[in-house]
Amino acid sequence: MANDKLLVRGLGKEWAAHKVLTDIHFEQPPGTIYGITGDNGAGKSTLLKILATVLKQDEGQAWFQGISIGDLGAWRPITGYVPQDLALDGRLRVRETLNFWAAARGFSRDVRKEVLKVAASDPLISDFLEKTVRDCSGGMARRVSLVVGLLGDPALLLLDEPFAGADQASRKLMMERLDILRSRGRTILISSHEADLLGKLSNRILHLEEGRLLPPS
Amino acid sequence: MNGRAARWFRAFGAYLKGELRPSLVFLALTLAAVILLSALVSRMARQASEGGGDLPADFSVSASLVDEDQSFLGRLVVEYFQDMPYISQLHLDSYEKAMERLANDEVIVVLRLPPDLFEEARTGSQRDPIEFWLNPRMPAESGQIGIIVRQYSASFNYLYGSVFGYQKFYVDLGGDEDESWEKTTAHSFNALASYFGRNRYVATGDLLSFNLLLHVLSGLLLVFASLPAMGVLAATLRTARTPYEDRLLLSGGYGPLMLARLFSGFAWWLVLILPLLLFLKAGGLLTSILPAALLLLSVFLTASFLMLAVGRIRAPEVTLLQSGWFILFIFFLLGGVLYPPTLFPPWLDRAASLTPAYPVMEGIYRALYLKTSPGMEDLLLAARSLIPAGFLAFIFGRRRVS
Repeated sequence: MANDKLLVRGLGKEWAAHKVLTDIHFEQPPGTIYGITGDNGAGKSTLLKILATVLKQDEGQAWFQGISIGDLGAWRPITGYVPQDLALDGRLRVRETLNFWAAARGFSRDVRKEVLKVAASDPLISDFLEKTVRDCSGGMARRVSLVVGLLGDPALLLLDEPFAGADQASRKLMMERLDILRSRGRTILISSHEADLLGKLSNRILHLEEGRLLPPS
Repeated sequence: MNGRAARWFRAFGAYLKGELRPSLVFLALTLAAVILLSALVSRMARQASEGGGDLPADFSVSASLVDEDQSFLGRLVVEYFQDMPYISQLHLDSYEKAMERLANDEVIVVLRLPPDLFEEARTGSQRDPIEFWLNPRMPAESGQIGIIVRQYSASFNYLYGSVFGYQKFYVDLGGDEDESWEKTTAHSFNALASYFGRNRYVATGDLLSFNLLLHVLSGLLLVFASLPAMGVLAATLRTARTPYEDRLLLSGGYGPLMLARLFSGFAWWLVLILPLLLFLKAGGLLTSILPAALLLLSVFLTASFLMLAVGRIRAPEVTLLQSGWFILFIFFLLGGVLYPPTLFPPWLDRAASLTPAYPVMEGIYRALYLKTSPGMEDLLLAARSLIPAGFLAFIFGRRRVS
């Protein structure tokens, strides 16, 4: 399916005979930010995890840039995922964290050097590159987590509660970065409880209720 | 190397560094401790091996013989036992005195020849058996005697049938029945005694003498070789089903992560095992390091493969850690680390011989005892566990998207 859009068709997921997601349909063009809202347990994280290929859907299908979600070898390199938890090694310095995750993505030494060079002037993290992650404030750690998710400049960005625990300054910086990414044609899906913030940032809000996508009001 | 393989190896390198980095200081401290321990153990083992230590280097038996038969057959048995190199002292006692010696741990075994043994043997209608009492407070030695007795018993049964037939034939030729019986019995028994006198079972057979220190040393090597597998389990459990693992999975895949954990465990294996092997080689107890190292590596890999699979079971972390320790305990128990397999009943010995640690322990002990190297047979026996364990790791040890 030759299409730059993110196409989601009939996605469903079941946990122990309980339907967590039911028949999710939507499509998202490049250069847009879609927000996902909903109560706890509505299925926001599950939807992002399926699109990140951390979980496998029980039914339905998704495509992005014509690539099927089942083709992990092609899907994962173009996807960036920022989980709800920080998921970083607190013992590493921020610089080392970037180097580690860049190497984990298979970047060569030269590319890793370039990543660190860019990080030195990145307003999100340049002030505290030598701090260990465990010494970072909640907002700083969130920014590091976002930058790690952006490694490799993925075309599809999946962010699960990226602003949780972040202060106002950190949120502002992160939102500015997401805005820039949108203008560069990236496709961004963000789940959050904070409807106001999502409202400001998103082109469209997807509201989930008990695993079902409500029609736009 | 194509792009995909290069990315795979870079991810592996990053994961390995990530696994090893937090424990570098502890690794260095452990290395220093193991070097000290190795020097000490090697010195003690050398002394014991040369017979200079406090512990007896060889298996020896003191025994009491109660001869109620008082025939020439009894005298032949006494002569035969006195000639056995592994019987250090033989007492000719009454039944009561022999039991007293057994109770006082002066002897390990009491042998009683019943009255009329010779008369009954010559007619082939033996009623009273030859009786053995083994000292229950010396289980290792008693176990070995038990094995020797079983081996002798089987040979006796076979040979006795042949001798009895030969005796009948001799009587027909000689005429005088009593004289013929006596001569053929003496002749047969001499042949039998010289057959056993070659130490067929104790010097060139499978049963090695028991040396406590070398047994402990073999056990220590086996324990040290297996312990890093618990590190593999701990590393797997630390990230299992966490968002951190999700990120690792999405970044570099799970294959490099599994391999990095194995290599991290291998680094610990090197630190724990290599100094010991080097010191044993330097001390002349091992002729070459590589075969022993491969033997010990096989037990590490087998245990690690199992731990990779255990680490992915959906259960509380503490339960899985206990399961891991339990698996290692079974390895040690059936491998003969806690008790020599000679003490096992035959069915357990047969079952234990199929477990991964058994051939490793046996191969290492034999190599240390004979001051040689484990052979290809030991290596093949040890390596056979790798296939099912590797299969389990491949099927159950992988992080699956579900």
